[in-house]
Amino acid sequence: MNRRVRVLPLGLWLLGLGYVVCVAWVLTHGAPVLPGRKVTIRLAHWQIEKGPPDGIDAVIKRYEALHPDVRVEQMLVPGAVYRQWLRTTLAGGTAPDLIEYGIWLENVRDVPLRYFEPVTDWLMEPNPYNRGTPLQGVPWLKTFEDELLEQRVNSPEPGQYYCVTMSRGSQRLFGNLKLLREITGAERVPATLPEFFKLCERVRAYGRNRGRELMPLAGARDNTMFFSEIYLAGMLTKLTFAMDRDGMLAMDSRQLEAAYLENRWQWSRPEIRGALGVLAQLYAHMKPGYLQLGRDDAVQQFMRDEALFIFTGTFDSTSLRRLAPFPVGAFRLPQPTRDDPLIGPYLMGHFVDGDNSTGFEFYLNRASPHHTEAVDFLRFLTSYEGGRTFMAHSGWISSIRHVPVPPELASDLSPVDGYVASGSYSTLGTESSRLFWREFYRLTGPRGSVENFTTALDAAMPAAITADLRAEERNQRLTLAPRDVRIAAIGELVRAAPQDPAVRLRRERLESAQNQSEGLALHVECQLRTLAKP
Amino acid sequence: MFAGGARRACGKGKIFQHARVFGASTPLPRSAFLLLAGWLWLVRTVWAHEPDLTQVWKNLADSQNTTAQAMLASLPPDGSRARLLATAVVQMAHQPVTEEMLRSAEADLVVVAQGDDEVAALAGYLRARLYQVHFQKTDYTRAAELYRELARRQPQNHWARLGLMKLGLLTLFALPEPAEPVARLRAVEALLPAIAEPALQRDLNLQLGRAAVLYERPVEETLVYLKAVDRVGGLVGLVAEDLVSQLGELSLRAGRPADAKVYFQRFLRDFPTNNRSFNVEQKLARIAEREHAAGQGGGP
Repeated sequence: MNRRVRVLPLGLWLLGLGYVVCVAWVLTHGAPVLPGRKVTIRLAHWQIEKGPPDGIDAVIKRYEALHPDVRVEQMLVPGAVYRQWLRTTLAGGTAPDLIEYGIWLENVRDVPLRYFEPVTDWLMEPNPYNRGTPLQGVPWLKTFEDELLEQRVNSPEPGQYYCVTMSRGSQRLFGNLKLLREITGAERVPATLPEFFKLCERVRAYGRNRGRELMPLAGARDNTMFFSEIYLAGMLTKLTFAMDRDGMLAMDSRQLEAAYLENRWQWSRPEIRGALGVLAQLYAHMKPGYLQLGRDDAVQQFMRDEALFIFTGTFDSTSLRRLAPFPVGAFRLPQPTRDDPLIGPYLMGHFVDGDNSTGFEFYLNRASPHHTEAVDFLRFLTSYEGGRTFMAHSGWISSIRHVPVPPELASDLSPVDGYVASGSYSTLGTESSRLFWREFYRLTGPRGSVENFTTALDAAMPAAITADLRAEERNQRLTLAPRDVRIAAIGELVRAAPQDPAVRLRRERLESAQNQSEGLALHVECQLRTLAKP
Repeated sequence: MFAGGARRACGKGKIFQHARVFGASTPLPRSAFLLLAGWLWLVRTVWAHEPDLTQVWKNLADSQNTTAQAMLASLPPDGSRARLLATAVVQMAHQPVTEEMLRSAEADLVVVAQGDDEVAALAGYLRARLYQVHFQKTDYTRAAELYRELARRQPQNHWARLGLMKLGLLTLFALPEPAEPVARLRAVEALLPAIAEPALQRDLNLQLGRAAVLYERPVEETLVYLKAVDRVGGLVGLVAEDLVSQLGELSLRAGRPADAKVYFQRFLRDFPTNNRSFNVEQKLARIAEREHAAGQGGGP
């Protein structure tokens, strides 16, 4: 007993000594026991051109000053690898909390439903960061200039919003003002296509006379796609309206695809042949081989003074204006006229040449452990203050209402003064779009013709569209199982608090969204049963 | 002896056993240990987040399925049907989904569905959903049977009504019978009174309207369904805008320009950011031209 009394204090001493050594080691060699900031939010996007990263950095700095506990990291992922990166990180569980995504990205259209979380409930409440601004008390959704139109049109799940947007933009014909003045004596671009084609001939003659390589239009596959989407949708407005059985005054891609399988239109129709003929005339003013080039190549061609115009989204405007060694102007697209021999008889009227919808969308990663903090940052990013800061540092127009647009950027916006009839005929779905562009050389190549192109499309399009509709049906179905779990859970929460109107409303919205998705999936399934082509 | 005593001890007894051991070797006052024990108990009470089923449901409602699963596993088993229901739903949410896990969930749901309360109704509904949506090989006919059975057993329950709405969707677009489109529409119309809840009736009427267009029924028939949707309202997203645009355009096609005008004006007023506003303005301009022509004695 006496021996144990002597030994135990010694053991305690040794234990204490060991503890002190451990503490000293941790303090001198280890990482901080408590991190400086408790939560780190990561957001990733592919807008690595001039402007946006600076704009987001400025917003982050301000946010971190307001929230010392939160750190926000901006991840810039090049567009060339973005889809692969997206798929890999989401599948591996290493994706950031907030992720840029576009519904038009090919081969990743299943991603939102698999990996992203709707933000509808948050959007129905006012953005707290708008206190003291003209947007105080306004539901977050209503603070976006277009109230998230793109989400309303293309939501992965009808009735649900999956993202918020950062900026507002359009498509514009950007021109080298110095060169334009040299060639024409003015800084104007004709409003009609026949006049524009005459200008293109003058440009080519100007280049030839000076022995320099000068094309009217900078060309690349991407820019061709931008052109084709707007011109085909616009020139085929009358046809689209004629096929609009639902009376929605427009048709989305799925409706156009189903109409194709029902034989209500074919590529060989005269109005489509006419529209493709106009496109072929336009693309003849790009440097041969443009289909092999990317968007950056076209920008470089424009910057090197080798093309007078470049048609692109206003997402390129900051890069063009900041980097070009000459003044750059933004112009509206010339429109075809009723006396045009190819398309004139089929025209409905003036069509929109840019939709002004908001974009640069950030989605919430469902697997993020920091939903609350991530949404809070999104709120600040898209608040009045966040929007103003972003615009000032990025040169991109903010998506937020009442944020003043600087005069030098105003021409990037399109007036809503024309018909909007459909999604584009050239990018209906993944497979049909791939087919369209795979065969496009038959239209514009050395031995190309409208006839060659439409024959090839009509031969292979039924199978491509069938595949697209099957994917659409599958994607809609993907939402149903996870939503069942949520609906059941919210049902139990309603049972626990039957008088809580917020929970009841949440249940109604979720059930309604699922009913719509389910209706759409079964509707498409029904169409495929009767229309599918092998 | 000290180590052995610590291993044998557990919970609060562990603390007191340590106190006895230390008390035997070092003369610390017993009250100090009692104070320490009390303090530890207090800390435990304050900091321990005792999960309950509501927390599990909250996590599932927010798609935090893994957290919900861990939380449910930490709950002591109580043999209740509510707990069994939560187990089944967590299994349905588990990733990766396996057929075996879904079959296990179904077995639990069958047990929970034995009753006439809310939990039983939800279990019955989810069982039907397994056949319609979750199993690798879907079985719409079996799902339809289960929806009907639930509606028979608990006709006043929300889950039974939601099940009837789903039965309506299957009848419109998927079930082999009735084969004729008109018969499908009529069969689904017959479900509407039993569905009873306006929001669910609205959703089904919307699908009836879409099916009427798909089956090329007369415009007037589609309008009846869409007007029923409009009377309830409350739709979120583009579908609300589509509805008003459809009501306007189909009214125009049905030869009722005055109705169309009202809907188109409402479209412009309620949805100013919709990019089809120009299209609608043109429609209104055409209607105005016709009215003007008719006022001057011209034909329509």
